[in-house]
Amino acid sequence: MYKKKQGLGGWIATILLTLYCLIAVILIGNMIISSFKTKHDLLFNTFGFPKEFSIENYQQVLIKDSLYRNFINSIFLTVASILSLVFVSSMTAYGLARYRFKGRQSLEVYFLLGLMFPIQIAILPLFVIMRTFSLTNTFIGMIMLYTANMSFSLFIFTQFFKELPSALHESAIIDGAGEFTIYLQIMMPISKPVIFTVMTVSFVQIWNDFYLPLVFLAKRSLHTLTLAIYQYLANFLAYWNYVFAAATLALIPVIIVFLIFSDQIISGLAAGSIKE
Amino acid sequence: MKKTMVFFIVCLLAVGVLFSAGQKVVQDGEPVVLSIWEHTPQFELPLRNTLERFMELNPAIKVEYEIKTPDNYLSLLTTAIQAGEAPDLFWHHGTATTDMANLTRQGALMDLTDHIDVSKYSQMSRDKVTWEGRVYQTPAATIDTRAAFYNKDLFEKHGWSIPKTFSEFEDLLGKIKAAGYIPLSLAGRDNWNILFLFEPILAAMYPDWIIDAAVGKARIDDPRVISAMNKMIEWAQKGYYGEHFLGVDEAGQYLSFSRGQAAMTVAGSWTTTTLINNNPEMKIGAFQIPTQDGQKPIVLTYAAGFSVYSKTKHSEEALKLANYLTSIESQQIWVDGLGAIAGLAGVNSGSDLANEIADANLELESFYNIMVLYHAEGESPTKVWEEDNPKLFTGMVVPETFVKTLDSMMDYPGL
Amino acid sequence: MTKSKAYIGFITPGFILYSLFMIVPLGFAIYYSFFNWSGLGSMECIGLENFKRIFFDPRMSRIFNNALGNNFRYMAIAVFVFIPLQILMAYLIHIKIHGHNLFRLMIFLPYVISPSIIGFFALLVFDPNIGILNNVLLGIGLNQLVSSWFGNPSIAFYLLVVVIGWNGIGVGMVIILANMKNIPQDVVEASIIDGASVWQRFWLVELPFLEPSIINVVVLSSIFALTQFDIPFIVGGLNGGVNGKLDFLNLMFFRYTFGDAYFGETALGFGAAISVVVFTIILCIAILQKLVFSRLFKR
Repeated sequence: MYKKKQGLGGWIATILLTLYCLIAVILIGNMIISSFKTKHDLLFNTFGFPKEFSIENYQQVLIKDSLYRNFINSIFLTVASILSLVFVSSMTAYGLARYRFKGRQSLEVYFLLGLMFPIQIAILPLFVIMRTFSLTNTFIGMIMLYTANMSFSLFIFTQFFKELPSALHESAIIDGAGEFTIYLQIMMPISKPVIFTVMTVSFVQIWNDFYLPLVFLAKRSLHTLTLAIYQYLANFLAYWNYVFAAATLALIPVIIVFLIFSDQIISGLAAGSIKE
Repeated sequence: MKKTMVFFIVCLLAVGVLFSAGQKVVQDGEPVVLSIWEHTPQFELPLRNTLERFMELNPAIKVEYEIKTPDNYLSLLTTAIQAGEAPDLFWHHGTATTDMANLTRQGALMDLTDHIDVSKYSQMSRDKVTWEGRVYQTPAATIDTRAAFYNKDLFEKHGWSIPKTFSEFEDLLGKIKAAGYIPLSLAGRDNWNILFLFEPILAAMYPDWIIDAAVGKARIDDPRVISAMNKMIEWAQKGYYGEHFLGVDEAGQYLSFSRGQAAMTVAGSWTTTTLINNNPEMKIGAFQIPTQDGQKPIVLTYAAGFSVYSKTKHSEEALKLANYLTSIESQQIWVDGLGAIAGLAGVNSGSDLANEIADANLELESFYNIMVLYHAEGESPTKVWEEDNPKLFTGMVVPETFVKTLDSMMDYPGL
Repeated sequence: MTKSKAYIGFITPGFILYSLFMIVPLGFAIYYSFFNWSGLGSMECIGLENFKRIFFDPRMSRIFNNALGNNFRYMAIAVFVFIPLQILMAYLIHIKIHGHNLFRLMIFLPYVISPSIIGFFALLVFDPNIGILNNVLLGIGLNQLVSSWFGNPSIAFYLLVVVIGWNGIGVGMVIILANMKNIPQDVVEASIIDGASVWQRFWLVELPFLEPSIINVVVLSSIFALTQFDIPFIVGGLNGGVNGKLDFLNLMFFRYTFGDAYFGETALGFGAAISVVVFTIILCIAILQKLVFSRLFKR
């Protein structure tokens, strides 16, 4: 629909953005390249290609320090949390945005409170609560925590659902559909772009979170990848060649997820489906 | 609709309970499992070695360690203790900070006085683990100090030698600068690294002040302290830390030394292994900055070990481990693993470099510890020191008013 | 909007989870703020002393005001510089300029890198001695531009803002981009047929449709600006960087609550008071924004 030919302004934009993106390419590219350097090479050659190509860092990280286990933990925890988060928060947002009732406005602000204070200050009472339900050192506890931390995604969903034309809902009612069916079978499919946006952003946040796993997944066998990397980093001068390898490993799944999801964002919406 | 939701929540909770309950089943005949917490990955290797040996000696006990990170350790420990779920043994600062007072007041620590024998340890080392006459923590044979590390190859190449007096040291700084190297790499952004430089300067210039202050008989706003601060600032103005040292952080300080850009760096003794591992091909030496009359002062602090949680379910086994951690054998494993300096008869220092660092003839208290020892009620001077010492170099804080502020938070028993 | 009791079923599960794990703990935090409490041992109720200390103790109020100022300065930059940039970037990708697929990935990608790794990058780039930046500048003869970067009080703050922006700008961009996909295409097509230029089409036709996502991003960016912690902590250190230029409220909170990494003296009561103050400020701003926006767009 937009014209294919690109004017001068377009080309300038392309060039500027290319230069901007070059920063990320250089830094991330350097990280990946450096993960194949030996420690001594790295010391004098922080930027640039390795003198000799070594996979020793990966052997150490993946096999000797068994980071593959942390990797599996991370994947499981993140995927399960995202699904639970998107389901619960979109449902709550739907209830908030599509129905008229007393106290709705205040409830919206109430659900935003979660973004306004550092979780660290609440960690002690949270710990007590988690223990009361025997949820410490369990993935299910973590999934519930990440789901409860829904302010961001709920906010995005609420604003989105508000914009949807009410005609959709009304016509479905006339067709005799139940409230939950309308949400699941009519609203969710239209919400694809926003669902995938929330998924992408939440994926990164949960994947990169080390604080909650540090507190609630004390057992070594339950550690996530980010937690493992964080512990390398806490003593990073001793391990900085491993840091590069571990960080590269951590990056791969997120890039894959982003590529899949962002294509969904772009192609997710059939033209005209929410016309008034 | 409503029912579905209630059902959903009940399910979620139920699964959670089942999940965790399932993990708590312990069968008879299996070894008792103890948990132990350490605060920094730097100590992982010595801890692992020590525990492996302990488990060899006691096959009926299995010890699982957890390494936390320094910036979160205290909050995690406090949280676990408050929630009644602390590990069987855990590290803390002992009497070096308010940790010991708080933890004993809380009743979180088991009294070890009648269970472990600390008599062979030095007085300073025992003080770290003793509170109101009772021992609550295993002592450590490791001494923490600061030292000037130097690049032996560079020194040889340019014919520089280890200074014998303070003015020789200053001359050396000038010579290195003239030769185009950074004389003394310093993390101008890191208040700890600034402390670890300031303390040796103070010790070399005014050991008499430290001796008095250590017993509460000298004030912090003493002209001698101001003069030592001014010396540290003067070196910055002469470019002895590099032109742009204000932008350097801890890692940058060590890396520029390991890459041979800086000829020396003053740092904590616990960085020895890091510096060696960073560039194994470089020959590193170390010395203490001398006084003007040729003495070699050393600023000493003793490390502390582990406490037993008062509510541990396996007190017998936990005490066995505490006992082992107090033994000469375990201390030797620890010191070797860390490459550290030993402060206990029968334990040898971890490396040649450690011996060079310990080559001194005047033991002095740390400036920071003096503030911990004699601070008054209310705001803590160490906090102000930590927040503001880098500002000495930008001129936002000047020594005269800085020491006045610190002094106002002190309470000297000897004056 | 519909009037029906069905909303109860939709909201309840989320409400319970959120209240139990987020709001109840927050309630406790507010309760702590009235106590002198290290986090261990006895709690001594001291009323409003903690709050008085934040606002009236000369040293503490100076630290607090400095941090608050930095938060606000950053918020202003986030709203007035970053958001227009995010809209621009999203739009350029939306109209499929050359390389748009790659840009979409590469602009978002820095967000994926965990803050600790960002701190590591900052060392490799900005360290005055070993960093690439000074070495490149020296290499090409621009000696006068060599700087101590994060150690230079006059540029440290802006440098940090650039790092934070580089890291997070992709988030707002994808939110706005997702919104652009909802612009009814027949309206856009009609404007093209009517002969509107790219510029006119953007301002008059497309921008109004972006209102919901832009409001989202404004609200979220403001909250994030006031709760900045990770990157300032990792890049600038716990004590707020050179001359306190990199100090932020949550950094101050963390520093006083849990103490320093090496010799921490914890003060949970005082720390809670700081976070309650921060929380109140954010809440006021969020409510204010909500009022302004609903007045502005009559909803």
